[in-house]
Amino acid sequence: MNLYSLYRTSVYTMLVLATLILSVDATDYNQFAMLYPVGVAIAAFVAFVTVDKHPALGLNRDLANFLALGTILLAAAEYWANPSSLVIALGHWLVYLQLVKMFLPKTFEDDWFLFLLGVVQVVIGAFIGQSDHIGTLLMLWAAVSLAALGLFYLHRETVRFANRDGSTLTPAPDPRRPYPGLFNPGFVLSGALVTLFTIILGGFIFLLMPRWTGPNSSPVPGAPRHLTGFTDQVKLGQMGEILESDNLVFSVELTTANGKVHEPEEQSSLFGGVTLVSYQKGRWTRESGSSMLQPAVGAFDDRSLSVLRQKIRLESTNNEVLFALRPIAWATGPRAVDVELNQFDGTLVRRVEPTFSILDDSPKRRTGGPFDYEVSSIDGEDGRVALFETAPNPRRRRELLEMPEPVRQAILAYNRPVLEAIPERTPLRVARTLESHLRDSGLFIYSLKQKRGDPQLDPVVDFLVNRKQGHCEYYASALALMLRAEGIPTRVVNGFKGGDWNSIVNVLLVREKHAHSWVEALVGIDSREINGRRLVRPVWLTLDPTPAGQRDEVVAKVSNPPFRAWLDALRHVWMFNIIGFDSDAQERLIYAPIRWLWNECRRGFGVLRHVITLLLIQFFLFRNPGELFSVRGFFASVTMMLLLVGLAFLIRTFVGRLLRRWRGEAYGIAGNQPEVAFFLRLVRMLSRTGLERAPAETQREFARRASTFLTQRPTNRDGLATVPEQVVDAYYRVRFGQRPLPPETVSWLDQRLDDLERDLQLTG
Amino acid sequence: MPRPDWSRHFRRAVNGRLHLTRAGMGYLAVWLGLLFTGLQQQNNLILLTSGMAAGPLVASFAMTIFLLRRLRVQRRLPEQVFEGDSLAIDYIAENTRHLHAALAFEVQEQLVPTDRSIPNASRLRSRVMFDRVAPRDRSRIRWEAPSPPRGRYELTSLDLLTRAPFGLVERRLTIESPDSFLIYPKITPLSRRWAQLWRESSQSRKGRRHDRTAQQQEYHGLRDYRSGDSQRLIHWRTSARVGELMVKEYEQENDQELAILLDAWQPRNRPTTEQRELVEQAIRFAASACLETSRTPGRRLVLGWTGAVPGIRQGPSGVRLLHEILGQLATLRANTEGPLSAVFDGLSPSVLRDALIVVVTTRPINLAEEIARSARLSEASTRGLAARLIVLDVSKGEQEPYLARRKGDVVEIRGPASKSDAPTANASVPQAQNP
Repeated sequence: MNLYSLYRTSVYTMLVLATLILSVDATDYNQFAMLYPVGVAIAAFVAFVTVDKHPALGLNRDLANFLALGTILLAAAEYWANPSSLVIALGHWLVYLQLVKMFLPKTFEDDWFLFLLGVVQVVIGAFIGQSDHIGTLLMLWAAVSLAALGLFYLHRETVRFANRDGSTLTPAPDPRRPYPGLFNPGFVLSGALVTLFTIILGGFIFLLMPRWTGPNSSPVPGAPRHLTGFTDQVKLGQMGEILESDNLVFSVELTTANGKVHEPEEQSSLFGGVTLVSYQKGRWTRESGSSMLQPAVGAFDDRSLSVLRQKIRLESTNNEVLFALRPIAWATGPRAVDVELNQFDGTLVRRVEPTFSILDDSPKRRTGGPFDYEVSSIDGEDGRVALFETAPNPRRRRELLEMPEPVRQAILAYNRPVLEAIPERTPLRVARTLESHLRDSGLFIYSLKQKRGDPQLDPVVDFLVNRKQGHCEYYASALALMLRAEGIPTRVVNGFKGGDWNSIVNVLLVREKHAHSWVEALVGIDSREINGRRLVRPVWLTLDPTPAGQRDEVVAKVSNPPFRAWLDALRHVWMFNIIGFDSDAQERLIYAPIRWLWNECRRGFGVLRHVITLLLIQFFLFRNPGELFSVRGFFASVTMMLLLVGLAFLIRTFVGRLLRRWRGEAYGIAGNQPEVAFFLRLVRMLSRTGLERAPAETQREFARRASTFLTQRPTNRDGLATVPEQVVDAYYRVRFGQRPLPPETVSWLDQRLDDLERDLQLTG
Repeated sequence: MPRPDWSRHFRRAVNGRLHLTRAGMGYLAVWLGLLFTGLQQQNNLILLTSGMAAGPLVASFAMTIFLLRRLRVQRRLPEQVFEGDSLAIDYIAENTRHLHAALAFEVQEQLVPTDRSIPNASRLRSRVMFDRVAPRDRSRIRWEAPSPPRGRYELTSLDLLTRAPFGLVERRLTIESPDSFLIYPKITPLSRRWAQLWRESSQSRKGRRHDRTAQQQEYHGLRDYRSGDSQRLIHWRTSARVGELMVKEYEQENDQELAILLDAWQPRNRPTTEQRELVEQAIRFAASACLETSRTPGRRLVLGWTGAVPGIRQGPSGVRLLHEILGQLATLRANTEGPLSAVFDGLSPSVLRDALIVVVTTRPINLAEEIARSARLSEASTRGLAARLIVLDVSKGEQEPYLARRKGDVVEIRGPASKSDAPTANASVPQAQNP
């Protein structure tokens, strides 16, 4: 492949990628969006084998202009068909223009125009979507564009030198096979270095661009995903729909209070989501009534508590529920008011406000787009106390014990043999015994299969008595009801357990398959004084009756593609560090370190200045003249003198340069030899008449020749022909005799030279 | 190991000039648009795109400095070229880098005439592109163009420039390399009438037929036989004695002397194009006549010219004298005031006595007046001068019969004429005498 073919291929690849960036996230608005890059690729191939090989096959310019006008109608028709997608229609108009340009015999201007079309398509693509697919495509597009730009330059230079202005080159450049031996390891290495340098530089510039908005200020279109099992009412078994899915739900950066990365134990962290209280006919429902609190405002700042910080990015979902380790001590969203916590059941939710999009101008209550929030949770033994929750009153306590009576009877009958062995029935002992029965007895099997043993029975009773297999929801529901039957208030929490730990970027990636259900049992009321306030808070005991080993095996069987860790890491970097780079991150990454460095430098230089001042004072300060006559006095005076000499030298040099510049170059020549300036003047004067002094000619010989020349002039008067010899006599006296001229002689010579100059000017 | 000359590197680095090309300015405008959009929308993807788009621009500034490092360029000039012939300059680029090839860089320079008064003499720009010079390699490219009008052309510096790697930024590095060369006047072959004129003049001078037989030539010595030598020149006796062919060598008599006096006059004030062209024609004819004369060894050639500083070049005809004469004619300025008599004053008595004198002038000449003004032309020396003096007034086209109008004539001067060669002709200035 020669240079031209390679260049064309790179340009077309760049254009196809640009159209792909435009289209990849536009499928929500235009179902045919992905046909555009395919169309561009086909058109590029056809143009490559036709127009680019044989320009005569190209479109006529007039016809191309006509077609370009026609593309406006196409774009207008698309907008008319779907008025909410103006930007996409504009993007497609660019694609049409690009197709027309492809089939023209191309000039350099056409190629630049194609580059411009590619860039604008990328910009529109950046408006439409910000998914990680675009990130990959963007990097690819940047690399291909660089290659295309470089090859375009080489191609331009070849053509520029092929069209010469009457001159010829030997050997002549061959426009068909320019740059022989171009593609060698050195070229590839240079190309790779330039690409790397450019991308790194681009990254720096990207980081330095000023940001003045917080996270997620950009509109993000696209249909958000629905997470089954995290709504106000959940049907038993519903969560099974997502347990076989590998989709990412959220990613968490876990750090301890002192900022160290915390790697959780494998599949042990429980990220609570929705809290369900009422059970009726196989359905769990959240507690009625609510009292919302902004946990960022009422944060608990108790240094004695062990805290685990979570920086969470929730992927695009339409659920309002947020996930976090419980109990929560502090939580905040992009703005403090964006996150709220239900004081009754401890569910963390986000506030949903109307959003506007440039793609869709009607305001909608949307929950789409990634959502970043941060939570601090209480870790360790203190983790039982729900700091933000209010202790349940009798009514709420009754709700936490409610269950259908037939179910209670059936479960009590089931519990009896299990609990017989316990000598003392404390709530804690009962809870642990029943949890262990479900989890460790071996009677129950973890399974994602949905089937009923006896449809007439309550699903939980059916699970306990007949089926004895199911997923976490069944285990959690069974334990919750078993404890309620024994008079222990309980609630079911749907959330996520564990995740995929990515050690490259130190992030826990939680997917749908990690969805989980567990039980919280109210085992007491805690009363303590925090920040001077007496707080009465419920103490919840977390119980997880699901057989962990079996669950982990099932989770592990869900798809696990190769290079997952690397892909996840790249995706994380993209989402957190590129798309999620905001003013806060910029402050943290760029400005704060610079400020710190500046302050450190100032402090350091301040110390240095202070030390130098002290040293100078010690060195140069003499209390009486007698101290000057000492070793210190000697060195101090010598140093001072050297400094003064240096200063004088610098001033002289500086002033000299200023003067030379002010006087100009011409003066400089004569100024260097002021004693022979008159001779130089004569030489210049005669030179203007065509009388040049030959290099081998002495000044005297030159003067004789000049006198002869002047003698022949018709206007020779006042003995001006003798001026050269007079000047040279004076020159010899100064230059070789070292005898300075008296001022009156210099003045007389100047007078004579003036006369000669005037005479020469008169005679032209 | 030689020490690196850091000051030279620094000077080269500082000397380089950077500027955006047209494409670079367009690129910058698009980049600014991207940046503005990204900042206004606070869209990280657009900001990332603009950041990456800035990469090529900034990289270009940095890369151009790297790309011109460790590149050496030399030029080889012809000593002289005839006007109308092809002017060829060789440029040699050496890439002393170890790994990276030097790609698509250009060498430019300007050929500046020292005398702008010569018609059509203007600056000429040579541009050469080296498409690729491999690491630790050198490459040579010859630039050729029709030569400009006669005169001395000066080259002060070589401009080495590159727009790599993207064509957005151009860096120009100026390397001081002063040099000059001469464009000789255009040579037109002379017709048979010129040769006839020469023969007739010789006959009239010597009173006998001037042929080129060996009998009229002075015996010089013996030498080995060379292919092409006439058999009549073989010295049989010596050949028989030494056992190989020996030929007699003769030296032509030094009696054929030609003086061409060039009076390239033009008015001092506002000469017309035609008048300037006449000067050029006169110079071309003089150059052609000198070249023709120099082809025959043994003759003496004198060239005199009028002007503010009249001058004379003379000597035995040969390559060196010819180069001196052509060099003088290449840089000769039109005469605006000097009389022809001043040139006569500079001629030696032998020339005035024996030589064929051809006056090539651009104005009507009154010979009697010129002779009267000349201090050197005594009665004795002018006797017979009229028979040996030919005046060709170019303004009347009197030189035309002596010119052969043929296409495709190639003029070639054999032998070296380097600048170090010592001049063999005597340059003299007529001694002025007080009136």
